[in-house]
Amino acid sequence: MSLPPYACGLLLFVTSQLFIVTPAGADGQAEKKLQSIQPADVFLHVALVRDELELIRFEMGRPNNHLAQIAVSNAAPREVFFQALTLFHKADRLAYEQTRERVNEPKIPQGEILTGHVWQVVDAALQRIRRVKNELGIVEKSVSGIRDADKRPTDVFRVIAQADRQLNLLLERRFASSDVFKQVTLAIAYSARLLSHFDGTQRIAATPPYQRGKRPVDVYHRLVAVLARLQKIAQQSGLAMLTLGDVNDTAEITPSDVYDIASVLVAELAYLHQQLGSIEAPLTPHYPGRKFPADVYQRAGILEAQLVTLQREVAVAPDWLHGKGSTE
Amino acid sequence: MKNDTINILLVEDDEVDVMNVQRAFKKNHINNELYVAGNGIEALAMLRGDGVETIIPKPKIILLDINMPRMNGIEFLTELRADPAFRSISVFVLTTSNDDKDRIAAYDLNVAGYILKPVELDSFIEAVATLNLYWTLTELPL
Repeated sequence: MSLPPYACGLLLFVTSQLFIVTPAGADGQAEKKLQSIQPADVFLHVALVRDELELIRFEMGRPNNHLAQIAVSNAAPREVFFQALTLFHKADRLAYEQTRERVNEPKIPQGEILTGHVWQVVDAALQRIRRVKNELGIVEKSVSGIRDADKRPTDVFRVIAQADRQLNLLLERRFASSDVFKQVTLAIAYSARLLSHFDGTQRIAATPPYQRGKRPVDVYHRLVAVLARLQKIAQQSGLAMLTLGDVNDTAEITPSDVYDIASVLVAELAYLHQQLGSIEAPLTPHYPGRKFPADVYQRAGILEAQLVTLQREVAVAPDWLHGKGSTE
Repeated sequence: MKNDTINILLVEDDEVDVMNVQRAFKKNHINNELYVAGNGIEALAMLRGDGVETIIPKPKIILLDINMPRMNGIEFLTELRADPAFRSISVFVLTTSNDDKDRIAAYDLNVAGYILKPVELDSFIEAVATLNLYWTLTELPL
């Protein structure tokens, strides 16, 4: 049975209210609902985002994203969550550019990140996109598609990444090196906390030489190498992480793509940090001012050096995440 | 005046830059006690003892970043200069902001210097060495 468009909208509205309004006694119900959400539901929700973005893109006369899907496998809900968070950041920036209104970003869950949490973030992004749609006076409606129960977190990751790229093409102020710089700085802060677990290690490595003229693609490659090292550290620690495949057309790499991979790094480091339990999480860095890819490349060098140290330490103590916790 | 006994407050939200200042102090054998605040609000709290331990004796030098969350460098300076207890503190802005607006605002609020953070660590260490020489030569108010 297919529902009319208004009924789909109503259904979505009711579902979203379940997560927003949690009166006393309803917490358990909301938690149950959160746990019942499957990747197929999130995939369907992202498809709505994509359709709404297409309506906005057409209205604004902006280009279509033609980049090939990102080659990723073995994604877990936590990795998809952080990818969804980048979707929200871009949607919020678009909404700000069009309406001058801002909203708070969704909170990062304290415990295990579930598919339901991803749904909440995607929904928050969808609301921002719909705010833009209303502002632009677009009346066409997007209709929910058919649910495919076979969808996995990796499928959701890929479709969010594509929506991310399309969103970037709608922005007046596209995601730039300063945004990537912030993410890399956050990754450094997480790594510093991980290193503080090992006595005698340098928490933040010395700043490497500044290399002028670096481009986003150089930063991208450096971060891919850092991610590969982090995967090895995770393997040594008995944890699984997503796998990123080769990018065929690196000539088209933009700061937005670099931002996305930096967000994956933050997600993975936050996950390791969460395993340690007792160390306070770092704060999201503030806007650092104008930055060039060379600045980000230099900072990524600090991150790389930190992970070299971490890998060395973890090789000696692979059960570090099951130890006593922080020494800080 | 022997200035290596005076306290210095660094107001900086970026952990990498905090580490760079600490490294520069060590390299230049600067033995002054260095306190760190993550933004203007934290810095004011540390100066006034609002909910945290007061820095005693009061810092005579502040190294201040501009782009920070909650209260940025210019907002902090405005508060600092409005407070008779702290208006004589020497403030050096240490920032990546090359914005004329920030520079003018900072000098309007009587900063002792506005220094762009060098991107090379060695140059940064040299800049801190020069600052140290400056405040060692300078007679600061009691």
